[in-house]
Amino acid sequence: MNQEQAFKDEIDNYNDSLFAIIGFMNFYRYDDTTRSMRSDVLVFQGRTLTPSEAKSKNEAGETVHFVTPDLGILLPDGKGILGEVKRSFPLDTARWLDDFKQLMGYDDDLTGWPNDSQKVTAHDIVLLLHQSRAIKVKNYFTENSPKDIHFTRPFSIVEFNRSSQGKEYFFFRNVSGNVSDQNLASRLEEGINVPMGIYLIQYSTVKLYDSTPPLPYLLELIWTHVVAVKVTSIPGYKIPAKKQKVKIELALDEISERLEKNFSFHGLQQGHANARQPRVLKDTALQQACAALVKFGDAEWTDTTKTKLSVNFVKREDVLDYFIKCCTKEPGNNGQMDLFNTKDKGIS
Amino acid sequence: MKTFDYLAAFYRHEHNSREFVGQVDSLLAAEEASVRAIPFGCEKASLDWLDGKVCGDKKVTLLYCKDHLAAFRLDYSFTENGQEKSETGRFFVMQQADLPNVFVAFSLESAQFFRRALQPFLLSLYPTVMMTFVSHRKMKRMLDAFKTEGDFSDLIITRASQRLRYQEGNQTKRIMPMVSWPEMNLDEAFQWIQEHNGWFQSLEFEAMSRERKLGTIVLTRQGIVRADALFSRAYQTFIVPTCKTIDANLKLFSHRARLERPDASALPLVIDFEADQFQDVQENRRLIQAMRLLKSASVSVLHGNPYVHLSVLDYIDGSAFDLWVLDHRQLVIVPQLKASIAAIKRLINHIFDDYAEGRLLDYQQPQT
Repeated sequence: MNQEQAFKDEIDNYNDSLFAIIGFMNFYRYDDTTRSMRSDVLVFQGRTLTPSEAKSKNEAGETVHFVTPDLGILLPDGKGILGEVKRSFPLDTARWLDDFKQLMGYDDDLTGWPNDSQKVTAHDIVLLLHQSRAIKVKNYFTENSPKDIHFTRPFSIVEFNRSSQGKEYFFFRNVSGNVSDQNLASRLEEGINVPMGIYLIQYSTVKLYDSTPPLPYLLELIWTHVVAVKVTSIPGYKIPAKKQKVKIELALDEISERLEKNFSFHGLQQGHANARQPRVLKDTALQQACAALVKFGDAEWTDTTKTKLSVNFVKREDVLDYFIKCCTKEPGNNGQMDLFNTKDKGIS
Repeated sequence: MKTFDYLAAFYRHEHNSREFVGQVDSLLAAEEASVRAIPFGCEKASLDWLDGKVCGDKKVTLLYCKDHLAAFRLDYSFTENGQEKSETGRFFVMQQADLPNVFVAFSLESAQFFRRALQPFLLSLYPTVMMTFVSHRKMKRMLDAFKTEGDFSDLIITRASQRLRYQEGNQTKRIMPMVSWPEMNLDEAFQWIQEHNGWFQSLEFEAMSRERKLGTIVLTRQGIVRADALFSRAYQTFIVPTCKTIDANLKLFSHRARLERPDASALPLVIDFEADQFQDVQENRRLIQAMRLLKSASVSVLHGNPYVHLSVLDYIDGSAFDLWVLDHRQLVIVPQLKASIAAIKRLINHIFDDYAEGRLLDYQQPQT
């Protein structure tokens, strides 16, 4: 596979993961009767939850400060759901146990849920997997459970995939265990086709979750929604001539805040974002993106601590393609995806 | 013997908006002349801001303003045969009753004045001033209405400028302008253009009463009308509905930017093609190719098959949009943080011109 295609696939995987999170959360939020989103169901993404004393150390004896599930749902009856989404699973099955250990970390009396007590009375754990890997991972789970993999709370594996039937759908089906909600469980047994059009607004406004986005994708977001917005807001702005550069000062905080506020799950969280809800765009990812802009000649650092940039805004006919090509040219970049080692799991 | 100069007399008189169109009609009956009417939308609901406006070598001076009708002088210079020349001409602008952001500019001057001075001046005021576009279907509907309501025996097309949209196998060529004088009747001409996936940039036709020609009229895709007679009828049938469309579009396109909304939510628009436009997946590629022809913009493809997801950035003012095709019928436009009325109009105009026309709707979230 060529490197440009590898980046495009990585972007596709990232977006599919986002669509899966949004779709699954909305099984609980969407009220079929009123055909609207329930305000009493709270959803969260990338929220840090504190383990109980019993699970505060990992196997190596290191302190686990928090876990950060990909998706969280708090129901009005005080119960909840935590989940992890994996568009793909590592080819090396030896690493699969690590992913299950991560999920086993959610099988705990966690603190930090977005309610007054910060606790739930019970919760499910769900692994959302792309259909291509679901059966293999389910078999692995069956073979290694309960010896190496064991859950005391309801655990299920749900596969997802896109499907085209005139309309575009996102398909979800249960492959192992099941969720506690009996109605949803029976629907998931048969498989649920969710028309993608239903969540089109969320797809357009939630473009980031707390997994490091592919670099060209993040750069396109920064260029289109931060740099261009700022440049074109300069009084007297006139469209630059071909190859003309318009310089603009940007602070990394400004980029982070703009993206967080407008392109994360921030908009779906009904006012319960707090210190436990860190920014989805990690400092390292943002610094890497800005360093890439500098490397590609699109910006210069303006301070020694590398917290501010002077960006050279120019017209480009295809911003994403430009950044894919720039990233492809980077030496040492083999276009491989590394979707699983990017989350800070709080292990000290 | 010097004949009476009706135009000079017309200019000497101070007109008002109630009587203006009828008075133009009377002038056309007396003088061999033609009038051009140019409908446009404007961010500002007033006319006084135009007074003293300078755009390059063109300067506008307000002569008078009476009852929502303003008369202006436009001074301009140009080079001809290596010589710098200065000319002046007049135009009028009428603010539409009950549509405060919709205006019609009128010119009784020469074609040269229109092409060298007035039209470039109005275009230079973008995005404050926005011209409109008349869809192929609406153009046909208005022409049919003109014929029926005027009780004309026929409308004979004497000149047509048409454009054919992007075709497979012709990927590097932009839509081709063509000028022809088909001398067809309306139905034949519109059928021909539909079969060739095109649209009329302008149509010149003669309104006939049996064998007698009553007037020659030009109608353009921008809703501009030129008439040498029958102006009141043309104004009612072409300009008034176009003004209503401009007003409806100004309302439909306004306040779509996410930054204008306290919760930064998105307010999408839909182009419904009312047919299985995207049944063939090759159509996705055609749409993407057509979108790449949008000038002064970035078009990034996030997904191209089987569904379409594009990110569009308009360099004119930083407006940005997500475009989605998730079923066979509809293209959904999701305005992002910045999304000006002018940019939305430009984007939709481009899709209609270079890809296909559809019905413009407010987005309704589909139900499961």
